[in-house]
Amino acid sequence: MNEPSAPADTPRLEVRQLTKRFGPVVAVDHVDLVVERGTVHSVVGENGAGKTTLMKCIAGLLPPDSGEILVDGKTVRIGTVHDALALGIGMVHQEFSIVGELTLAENLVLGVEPRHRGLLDRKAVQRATERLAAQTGWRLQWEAPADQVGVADLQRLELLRQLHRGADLLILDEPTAVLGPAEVDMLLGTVTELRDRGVTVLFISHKLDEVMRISDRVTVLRGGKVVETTAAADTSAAALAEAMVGEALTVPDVEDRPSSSDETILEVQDLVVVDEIGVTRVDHVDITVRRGEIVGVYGVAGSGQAELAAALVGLAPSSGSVRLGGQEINHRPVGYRRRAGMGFISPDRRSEGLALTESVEENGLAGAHRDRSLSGRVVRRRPEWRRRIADLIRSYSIKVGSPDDPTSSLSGGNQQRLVVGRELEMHPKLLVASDPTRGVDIEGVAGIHELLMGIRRSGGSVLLVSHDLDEVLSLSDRIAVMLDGRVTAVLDRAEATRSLIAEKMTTGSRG
Amino acid sequence: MTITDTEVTATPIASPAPTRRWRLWVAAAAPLIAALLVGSAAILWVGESPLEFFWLLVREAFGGVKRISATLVSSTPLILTGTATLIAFRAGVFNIGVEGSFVGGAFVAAIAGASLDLPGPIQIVVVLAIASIVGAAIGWGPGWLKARLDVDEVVVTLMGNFVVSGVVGWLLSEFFMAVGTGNAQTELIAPQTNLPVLVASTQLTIGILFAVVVVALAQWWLRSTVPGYELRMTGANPRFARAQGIDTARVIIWAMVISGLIGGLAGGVFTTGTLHRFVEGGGANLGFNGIAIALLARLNPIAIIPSAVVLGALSAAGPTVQLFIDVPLDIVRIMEGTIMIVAVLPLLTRSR
Repeated sequence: MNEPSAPADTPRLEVRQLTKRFGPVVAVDHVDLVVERGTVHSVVGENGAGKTTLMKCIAGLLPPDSGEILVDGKTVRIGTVHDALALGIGMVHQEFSIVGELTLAENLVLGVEPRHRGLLDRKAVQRATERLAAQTGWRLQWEAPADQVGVADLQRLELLRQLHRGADLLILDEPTAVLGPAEVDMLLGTVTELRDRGVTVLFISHKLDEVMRISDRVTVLRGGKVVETTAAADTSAAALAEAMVGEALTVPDVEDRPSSSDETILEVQDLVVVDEIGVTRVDHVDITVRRGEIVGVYGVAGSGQAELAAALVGLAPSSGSVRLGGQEINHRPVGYRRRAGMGFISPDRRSEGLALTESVEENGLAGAHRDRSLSGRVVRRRPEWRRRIADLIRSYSIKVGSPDDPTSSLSGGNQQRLVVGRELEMHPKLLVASDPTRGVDIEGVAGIHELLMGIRRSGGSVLLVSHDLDEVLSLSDRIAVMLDGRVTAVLDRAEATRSLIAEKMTTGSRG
Repeated sequence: MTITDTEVTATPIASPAPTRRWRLWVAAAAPLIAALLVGSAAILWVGESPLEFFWLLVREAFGGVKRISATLVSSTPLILTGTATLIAFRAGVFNIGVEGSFVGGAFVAAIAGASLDLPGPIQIVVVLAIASIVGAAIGWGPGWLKARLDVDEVVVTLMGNFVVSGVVGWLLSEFFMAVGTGNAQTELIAPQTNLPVLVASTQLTIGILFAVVVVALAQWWLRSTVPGYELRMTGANPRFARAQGIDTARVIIWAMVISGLIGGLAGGVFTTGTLHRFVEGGGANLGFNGIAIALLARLNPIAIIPSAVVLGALSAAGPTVQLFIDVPLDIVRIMEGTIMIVAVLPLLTRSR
């Protein structure tokens, strides 16, 4: 570990007025952050609040546009991961980078192998593992192949790797997202142990109860700005949640909202989604959406809302009952559900919402491509496609050179309008809109909101899954709050206040 | 499914169209340019003139009806195996098994051609249909494994080729050896099975017409039909295709069946048009070379034809050029190899 070259009361890390832009979007906006030596400092915020971008700037993965980073009181320039490591800063990412066939010890030194006459110096590797064991008190099966040990040990290995490389300031980017509950407990224990041995930890998470359990200090980011920094002892999960979701920017617009009809369009009962590694992501959820109604689904990221949306559309296997207009559609394939009247806006525009290499025309009519108006049994009516895409481009004001251009040539906002337009033109009974405004500028957001309200006015229904509480509050008739895969409350528009939602998304009805 | 904190990414701005078109041409011509450079270096090394050599090559490949016919005879199976490969690749399925479909099709065409005795054209249609069906069956297996069990198609199809040639070799030596010959070959097919010759006193048959029709059908099918559209979308982004309601598993299986079908047809055309029997090792690698053709054509059906003609010209003209100039045949092989390596490069670097 690095010898402290500064007095013990100098912060281990200090960030001053750091700013990072991506095109017109300011991801990190004049952020100040002080991390004291030997503490666990958590950074919390919604998706897109700028947490990961900020960390990447500190770890040498992204160059900041302006601002200063001080390590042990000295201004530094961190251009690469190596620069960061030389200053004792190491970042552990969500996905493990581990070679399954190699032993834990071999993985530990991978990339910085000690050599003896050109071969791996086994004795030096052993000394390293012993030193780390003494330093942390952890016993790992160093000679076991990595694919034969549990996920919790692999996560420890990732931490040890950074320590081995000389890091004593660890940045953990949502380390619990891939873990089951028992492993989460182990990891949190691990982090505390490291802190007690003098390691400084920057902990990134949206899981507020975890944050409360291990942090000394907490910084809340919202929209790229620091909202507050407090000692963990002086705050609570609910208070943090309130800070994360923020004050209402505008009073939710209650306008002319004729009461939605009583006809149930979507009825979900007892829906359960278990992911590939066996973690229950959606836990016995019931939800209904009536005709002419927008139902918002909100919770901290990773509470199961994305999996709920995927399961409804047929992209994630699930058990339970899903009825669309009275017809049972669970266990039916996506195409069947779409023909039955389900539309879907993917939260992942670039890798699921669009085929970026293909033309605007072929993206804009995908899903409707088997409609009798567009295609015969076998042959596509190309002139009809051409006419329809021209209409779509005009109706949704999509800026595009030619319908034959690859979709990648469109700006992010125009790509999203293409997705939204495509789904609306299929006139779905129910539109599952998952983060429909992600990565869209403010003007674009307003346009998409207007389109969603238009669906409602014309008697369509929307299940709006969003990480943006303002969006959920201003559009929804009812709001379902999720926590740990369960719906903890369904609130009517009138009763849904920020503080009530903040309470339900952190404590809910957890027993 | 894990939901990660995806940050806002900078929006890509398309580079101006002329630049992209220019790049496309360079990429398409790169294998040929590389072959000319490597070939020239090798010819200079043996002390001959590259210009004279290339001139002879062009003359022997395209100088006169007979030479052009010979080139097209060599190109015919390549056009078909190239198209077979292309169909699978466009669906995002890396089918290395067209070789197996080709060998299987060629073998059953020889058996059927020798044992059936139907009137004229009907015999040809039936024999080619059998070859196509066998080829399709050989493609179906790996397709089903990939679509239903997520088994890697590259490994299965590559190994499948050895299985097919092993089974064919065994059937041949055990049951179908021509009487009174020491070679591992079948009897000659019935005369009415031979594809009609297109240009008198050459070997050029209507097989080339079949090949061109298959290319035209592939182009039309990919561009203008619903299944072709679903196939291209699946290949471009399978997650997107699935989210839009396309049954990607079905698409993958059908792509492999059609790819195998065309591969089997290629084998059938080779037997009925060129060798008139099955000879063990005859036509070897024509299926593999389809991969290079498809990549050389940058997965564009129409471009399959010029790509196959270039490689067909090299293999038809190569052997005769050395009658006129003291350059070993290996130089032509080196050029072929260079074209294939450079053509296959994008496949090796492609993130899958």
